[in-house]
Amino acid sequence: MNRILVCDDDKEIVEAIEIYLQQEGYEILKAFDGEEAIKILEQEEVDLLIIDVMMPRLDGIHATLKIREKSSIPIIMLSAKSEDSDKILGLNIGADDYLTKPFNPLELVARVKSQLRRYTKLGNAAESPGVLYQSGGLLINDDLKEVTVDGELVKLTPIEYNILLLLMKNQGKVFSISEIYQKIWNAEAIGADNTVAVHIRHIREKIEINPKEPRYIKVVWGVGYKIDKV
Amino acid sequence: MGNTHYSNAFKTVAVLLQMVFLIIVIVVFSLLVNLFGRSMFTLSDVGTDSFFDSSYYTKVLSGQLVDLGNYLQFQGSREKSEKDTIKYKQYKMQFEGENSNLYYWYENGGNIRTNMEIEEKYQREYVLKYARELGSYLYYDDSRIYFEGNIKGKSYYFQRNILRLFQNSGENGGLIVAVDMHLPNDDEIKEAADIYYAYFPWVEISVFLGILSSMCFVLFIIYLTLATGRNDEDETIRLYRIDYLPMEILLAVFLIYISFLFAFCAKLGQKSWDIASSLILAGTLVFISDGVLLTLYLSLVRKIKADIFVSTSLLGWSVRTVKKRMRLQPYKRGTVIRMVFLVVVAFFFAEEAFGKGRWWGYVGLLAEIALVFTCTLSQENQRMEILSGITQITGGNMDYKFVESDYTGECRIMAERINNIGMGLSNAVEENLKSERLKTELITNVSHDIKTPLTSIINYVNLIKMENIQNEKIENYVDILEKKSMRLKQLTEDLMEVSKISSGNIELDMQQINMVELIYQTGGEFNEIFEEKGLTIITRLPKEPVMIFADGSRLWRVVQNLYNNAAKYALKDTRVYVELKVEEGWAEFSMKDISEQELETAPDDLSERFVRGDESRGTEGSGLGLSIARSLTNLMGGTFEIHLDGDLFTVSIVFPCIGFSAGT
Repeated sequence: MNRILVCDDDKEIVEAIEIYLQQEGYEILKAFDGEEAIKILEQEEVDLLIIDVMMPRLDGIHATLKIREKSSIPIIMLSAKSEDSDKILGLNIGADDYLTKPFNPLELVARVKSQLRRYTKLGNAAESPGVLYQSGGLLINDDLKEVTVDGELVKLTPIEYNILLLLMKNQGKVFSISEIYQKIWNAEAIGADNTVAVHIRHIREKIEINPKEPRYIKVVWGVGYKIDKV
Repeated sequence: MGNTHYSNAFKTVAVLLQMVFLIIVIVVFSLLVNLFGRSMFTLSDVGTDSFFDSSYYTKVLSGQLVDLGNYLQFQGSREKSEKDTIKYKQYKMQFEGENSNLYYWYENGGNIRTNMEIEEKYQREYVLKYARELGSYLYYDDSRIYFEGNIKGKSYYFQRNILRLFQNSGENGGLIVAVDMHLPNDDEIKEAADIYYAYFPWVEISVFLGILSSMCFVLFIIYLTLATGRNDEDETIRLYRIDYLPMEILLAVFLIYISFLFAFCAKLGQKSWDIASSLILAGTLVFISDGVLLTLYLSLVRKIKADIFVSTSLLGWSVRTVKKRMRLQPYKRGTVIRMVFLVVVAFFFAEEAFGKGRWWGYVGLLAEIALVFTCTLSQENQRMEILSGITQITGGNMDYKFVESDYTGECRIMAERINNIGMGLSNAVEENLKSERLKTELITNVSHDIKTPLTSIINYVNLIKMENIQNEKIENYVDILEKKSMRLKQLTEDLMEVSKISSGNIELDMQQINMVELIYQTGGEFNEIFEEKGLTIITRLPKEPVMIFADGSRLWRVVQNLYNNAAKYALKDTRVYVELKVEEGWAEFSMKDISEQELETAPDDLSERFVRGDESRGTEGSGLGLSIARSLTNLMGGTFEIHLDGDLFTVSIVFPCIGFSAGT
């Protein structure tokens, strides 16, 4: 039974999150500003924190900074601010995930699950034998031809697997469509084709919680695709 | 004045007719003048038709009487010079014998001389009776100094000639002159009478014609005066080019013409002309003069009608200009006083120097010149500085300030005022920027404030959905709530984006990107969405990369909006054409689809905010998509165009290529 602290100054949002997460079998603690959250964290054992950015008294950013001084629990940040710069700020100061309001409650649940899995199971994965490629919660075991996201097994077709493997082997490198085509199909890209792009989308749908905001396979528009080194 | 006849045809006819009538008048006039000149006709002759009642007869007769007087005197004198003898013979021919219609009877100092062939020629009573019978006669009785006769205008003129004959006469002097009104003989009187009768009927007709023509001429001139400049269509006064000439020039033309005319006429007058030639000449002159003068006159009339008489005149112009220039501004009054003062002082010094030869006069004059020179130069300098300052401000440097203490006089006032304007300008610009920033901030804040309750709405709607709802109606309602809340979410996001773009509040990460790659990538994102709607994408792209300079993620946003637009609004089961062409260094991306709904909006409105192709439908989208796409494209230096051809909807985006390799 994982304990999750939900912190938002909007009571109804907190309650809604509580309902969703309780349905998944989590235990919920509630706080309505940053100070309260810190107090609870000091007193109680908490496995994950969901914290809103804009709150009275102590906002989510400052609260996170304080919490990170002592604790390394996963923190999912909620915010009405949807700017890239806001997200980057949140992630830089120590949040593990950043979700913009209004969010899809199911997505939040999925992210909570993923964070918890990573936090609890990731350590074990490294122990399994074989050639491993890892980026954040994404792990490829090339011996077993297995792909796991936050410890959860993901089924990919051979082509999808090869594409993902190519990107994972060369993290940070951007591959254009024709490069991917040449490498995977061992053939020259002939004419107009969406094939690669469609495969990439399929991979994303399988490994990403929200394919529209991919964490792993990033689209560099007009250039190609890449997986960032984490 | 509405529908009176001012047509051009009427006017032309009027011009021609007035000219004809004027020519008639002038011809008649010159004819009469000619006749007057020969004394063949005077005003007192009007109404008479007998030669013997006319003044011409009087004139001829008086000439005859002079001759007769001379003749009679020659008869009396003993010694005649050779010249006089010749004359005497001529006179004798004139008055004696069969040649004369004029009869005389002359008694002086007892001698009686006569050319009458009657028996009682020595008896005055009989002779007088005979003379009366002949018709036209004259009788003078010297003893009584008594005149009698029936010749018009006889009086003084004759009397003097006759009295001359009796200067040294004795008693019983007398003279009887008579003219046989039947004019049986060919003499000067007969000749005159012939001429008279030849011309006289014409004179009468001419006078009549002259009066009638004058009246007609005046009438036509009155018509033209009323008609000129007007027309049948409207009330405006039509002006010709000549009407804009100053009145003074017209006047000058008039005067010059008139003087030429007079000079010419005077020259003509030196020669003698027969009647026919003089008539032709007069006619020609009248034709030309009438043309010139009528043109000037009518132009004058039009000027007055159009009320531009004063405004086009040189005098009016000068008065206006002087008024405008000389309107004294308060501080200019000082300038005038200063100038007057300087001139007075200059005169004073000049008088002292040149008049009285005093040395300090020269010095004073030189000093004044130096003073004026320096002042003028300094003011000019300052003015130039101010001008360059103004140029700076208009060039965008609104913070430019003049150092006011550097300037004097008018220039200082100018510098102060311009500083004020500059301050106002930069304040206004700042205000504008600030308000724009505030607007964006407001929209951002409001969007954030909307998002929080929206999160609750979405969450709780979802919670309701997770409940086991038996009621189909409620299920339906919840679906609507869900859709609308998602739309609201989209709307707030789009709104923020638009506000950021329009306030220029976004940073672009411009990179070299491959447009072909981007289109493939986009195609991959959308192929299933399109398939669901039965839309087939036909993509025609060059095989080679097409490199442009743009912000990849923003360009994706643009293309994404276009694909979304097609996915939402294209007719089901049709084809969507996506094409990328490279022409002369320009990459043109275009997307064509067939709209499901009739497009009633103008192409440009489609990309205006809050307008969608079909304004009636309101389920999806915020209507901001195309607007965002256009704004982003423009921000990145591309052009964005929408064409509508019936239901065919075409969007095209054009960017300049970087080092492109030929494609298609």
